[in-house]
Amino acid sequence: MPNNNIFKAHFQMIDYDVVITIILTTLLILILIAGITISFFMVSRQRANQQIELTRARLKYEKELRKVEGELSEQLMQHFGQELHDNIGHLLTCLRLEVENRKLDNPQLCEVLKSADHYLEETSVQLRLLSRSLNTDYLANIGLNEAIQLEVDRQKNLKKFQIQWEHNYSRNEIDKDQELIIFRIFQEVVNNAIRHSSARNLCILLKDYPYFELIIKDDGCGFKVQETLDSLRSSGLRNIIKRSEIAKINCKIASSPGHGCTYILRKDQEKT
Amino acid sequence: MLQVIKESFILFVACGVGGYSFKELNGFLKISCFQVVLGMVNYAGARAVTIYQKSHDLPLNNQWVFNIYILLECGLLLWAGYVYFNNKRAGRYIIAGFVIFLVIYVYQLSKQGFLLFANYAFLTEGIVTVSIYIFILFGSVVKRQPPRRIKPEFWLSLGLIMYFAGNVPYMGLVHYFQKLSADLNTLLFYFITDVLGNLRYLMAAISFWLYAKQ
Repeated sequence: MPNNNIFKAHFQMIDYDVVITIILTTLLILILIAGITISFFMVSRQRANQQIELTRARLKYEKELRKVEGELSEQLMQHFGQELHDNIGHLLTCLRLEVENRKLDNPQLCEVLKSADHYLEETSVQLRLLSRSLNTDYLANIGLNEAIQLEVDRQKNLKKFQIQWEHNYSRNEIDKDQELIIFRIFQEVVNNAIRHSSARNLCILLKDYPYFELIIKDDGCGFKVQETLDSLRSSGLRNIIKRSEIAKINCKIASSPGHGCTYILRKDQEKT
Repeated sequence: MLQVIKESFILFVACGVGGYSFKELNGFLKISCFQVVLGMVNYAGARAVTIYQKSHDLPLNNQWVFNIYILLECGLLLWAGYVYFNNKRAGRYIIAGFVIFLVIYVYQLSKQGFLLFANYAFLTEGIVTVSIYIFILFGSVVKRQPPRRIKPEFWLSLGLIMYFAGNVPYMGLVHYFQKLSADLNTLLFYFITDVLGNLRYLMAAISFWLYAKQ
């Protein structure tokens, strides 16, 4: 490093301007680089904000879409339920009357038509229960407790599995829309148990103290939850999660191969 | 000895951090680490030449060491850029940049001789390097993925850009200053090139450290 005296001596000899210009130009370039870097950061932030806005808009759109989908499917089920009740139910009643008439006209046919009559009655009961479980207005009126009771009765009649059903629910925390969504989730869970799990026992617990909780547990074959969710064949499971998000209900699915499956629908205090 | 340590402390640190975290580094940073080691070798070589010349009463001139160094340095920095972008289009531009540098380098050395520092070749190296590393800087800032932490490449490329761009005014006139006053030239070298060099290697060390920490 040269000492200051040398620097001073030479500094007097040469043109100040050139040295100062060099140093200032260097500083200016460094400031420009800093400016460019800062502008990069600003662009980055702007991009991030745009992305957040875009994601928000997409989420809102998806939420709306899901809501519309839900409403549509509810309407469809309502319509289907009403048609079952009014049209098919009516036809079945006519058929039963016809059978009764034939029995009255020909008493010797009573024994022959006994089993047909029995199956007709069974079909009517099943149809009535099914049409009720599809009827949105009916479900909204009777409440979640009764709706699940209805479904439990229907499943008991089908004799697919043994059902243990406990409830302590007074409908304080959950509104009608949430109840309907929870009931549809319940139907999906039961449907999954029938179709995929080969379960023999189904345990259902509904309570609302200290917080709302619906637990559905089966003793079927079970599955790997994350693996199934990642696969393409899990639309039912994803539907359950999506519906629970719409209803602002925490949904927990616990299962492993050979150990059955447990669904816990819970309304956390902070979600209210 | 104290002078040597004082001047090359940051370079030592960068070499140490680079060597320590070398296994964890990606291809781009590994080549950059080689470049830092090369910088260290260049510094040691230039010092050794000066000491030899002093001890044998020869005229002091280690500029030819820097002529060798800038050729290797430019090659390594552009190779690192090529590895970073890893696509043919960027590769073509990088090769074109290196060819331009080589043309200027050969032309200047053939004109002025090997013993005088090829400052225009250095400026060309600076232009080519800055124009490549500005894209790396941009990518490291703008194309961040969540959780939006600053990428380690940011510090390395910022250091290089500051070093090369900041050196342009001084290096353009380095021979003029040498003729005007060798001592003043040395002083400006310490003021500009040395300070920016330390900043560059400090940022390289930060890059290596951050990448290894990830």
